[in-house]
Amino acid sequence: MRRREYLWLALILMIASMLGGTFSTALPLKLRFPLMWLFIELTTACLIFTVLYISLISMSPRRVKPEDVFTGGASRPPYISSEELYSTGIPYLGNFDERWELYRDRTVFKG
Amino acid sequence: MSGAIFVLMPLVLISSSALVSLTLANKARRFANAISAITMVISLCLLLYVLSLCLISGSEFEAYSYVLNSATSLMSALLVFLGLLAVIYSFGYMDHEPRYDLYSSLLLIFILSMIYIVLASDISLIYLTFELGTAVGGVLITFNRRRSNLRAATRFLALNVLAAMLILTGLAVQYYYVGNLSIAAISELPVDVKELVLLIYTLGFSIKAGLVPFGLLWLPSAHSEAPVPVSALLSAALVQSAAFVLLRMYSVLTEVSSLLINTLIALGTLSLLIGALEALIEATGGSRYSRFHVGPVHICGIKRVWAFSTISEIGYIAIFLALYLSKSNADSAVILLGGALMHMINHGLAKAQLFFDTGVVIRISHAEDLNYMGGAWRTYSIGNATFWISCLSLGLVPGFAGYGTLRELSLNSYVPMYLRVMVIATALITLTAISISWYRAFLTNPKSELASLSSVPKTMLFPGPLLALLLIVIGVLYAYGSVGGTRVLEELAYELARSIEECK
Repeated sequence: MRRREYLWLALILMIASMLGGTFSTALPLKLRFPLMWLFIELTTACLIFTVLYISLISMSPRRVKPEDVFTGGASRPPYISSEELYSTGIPYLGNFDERWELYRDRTVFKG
Repeated sequence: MSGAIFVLMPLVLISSSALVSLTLANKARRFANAISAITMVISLCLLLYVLSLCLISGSEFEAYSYVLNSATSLMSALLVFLGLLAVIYSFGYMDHEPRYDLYSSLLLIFILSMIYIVLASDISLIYLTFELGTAVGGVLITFNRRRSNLRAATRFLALNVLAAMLILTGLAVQYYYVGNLSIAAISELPVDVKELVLLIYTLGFSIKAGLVPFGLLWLPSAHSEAPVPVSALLSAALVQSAAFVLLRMYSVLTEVSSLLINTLIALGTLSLLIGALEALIEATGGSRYSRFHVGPVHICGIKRVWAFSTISEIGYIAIFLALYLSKSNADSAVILLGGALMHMINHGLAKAQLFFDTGVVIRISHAEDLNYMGGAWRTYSIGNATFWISCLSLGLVPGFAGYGTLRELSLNSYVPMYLRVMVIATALITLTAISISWYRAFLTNPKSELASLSSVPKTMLFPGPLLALLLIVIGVLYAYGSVGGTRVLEELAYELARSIEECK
């Protein structure tokens, strides 16, 4: 449910990108300056990366229960790996699925 | 008027079903699934109807810089057909997915983008639709929810943005000189500029088509990390639509410099051999030796074998194109162009079949790493046969759909000897790589208790065999299909190539 809080952001981004997309396609043709497309492409790519991989992730970080982690390794590995510490789940999907992390079903192939 | 209806109908139908899926798929999944399937079937019927009109009466429909002729309607019908199978396959394969609404709507938009890449006759529209496909494809790759999925998606997006930059550079130069961005306007460019623009476009679309060296950077990781229906579409549809754009782009030219032809031959031959060899290395030694892997552990990824094989299959299309451009005789040139299109159909059907059946085998053996797979024939005996049909078809064996490629590229006197040797060697290596994968997945001892076939959703079980059946039909048509002394498929290939050439 937490992700629904950011629905307004997704809507604003969607409308802005639609308007931006429409104008940015037409403008270089109108101005007879097609190189502008290159700058628009670069800006759009940066924006996609920023939104998908930085902004949304930092706004809805993965919740880690401290007691699950610091129990001497009884319920989870004894410490947070550096990857786990910095990765915060997939913004639009939620947490990672650990079951197929090693390309085989962990519940069947134990160990 | 009818042109506008034919062009707009798939857009209206599929985008509305994407909207329905986004809003209803989690609440009323069956209803949303039914809408998706019905709209795809209607779009397919419409495109087949247009194809029949184009073939019978030689009609061509055009609206809003989109063209429907024999070749574009056949390719878009193929994409819709594969998309329909991927959508139906997803009903069962992604059933557990909590964000099924997002997945199903993105999948439909992804299919839609590929249809309009094939139909567009303006490069700026092709560019915009490719961008849509790239953005949506990047998200779809992450749906297996592994950390490596994010790395694969990042590579996919980064390489495709690079491709987009190249295409945009080409667009900018083209617009500067002729003030028109249609494919046909390339021929109006001054000679020296035309060469530069074509070189830029070729590099840009080569990245998207997955030719060596660019394809090695994104294709194996993206295809192996994505969910099976998405992998099938990436391999059988997206890279092919990029190759189709190259085909259309070069078909409008009357004269091409040797630099461009040599570039295409270099990209094509490298892709042929490296792709096939990498597939063989992956099937035997795994990612430790084949490289280009983004996962946390080294694997012998069955989907990676298919991905490397895709690179090699796109190499055939580049070779066809180079030979088409270097041929002075118009008739044999058209045959080569038709050969490229027929190879696309063969590869699309065979690769989708392999991916769909691989998904079933992964479910049965609980692994997508060949080191942990085995014994699948005990529960999935039909897959045992269908795997072989695709294997023989991609191995260009006589009697199967891929044989036409072997015949055009290795039995014709105008093909240089070194290319003939390379084509035969690649076909043999591909055959070996797929056979080894089949042996390891089906015949070796099971590494775990196999799941029963009844535990696999029904919607996952029929796309593979259906595609295998189609491959057999095409193979039989190649061998025996003649009416009044005219070979049906050869005539079809000729007609398709002619429609591309006439589409200025």
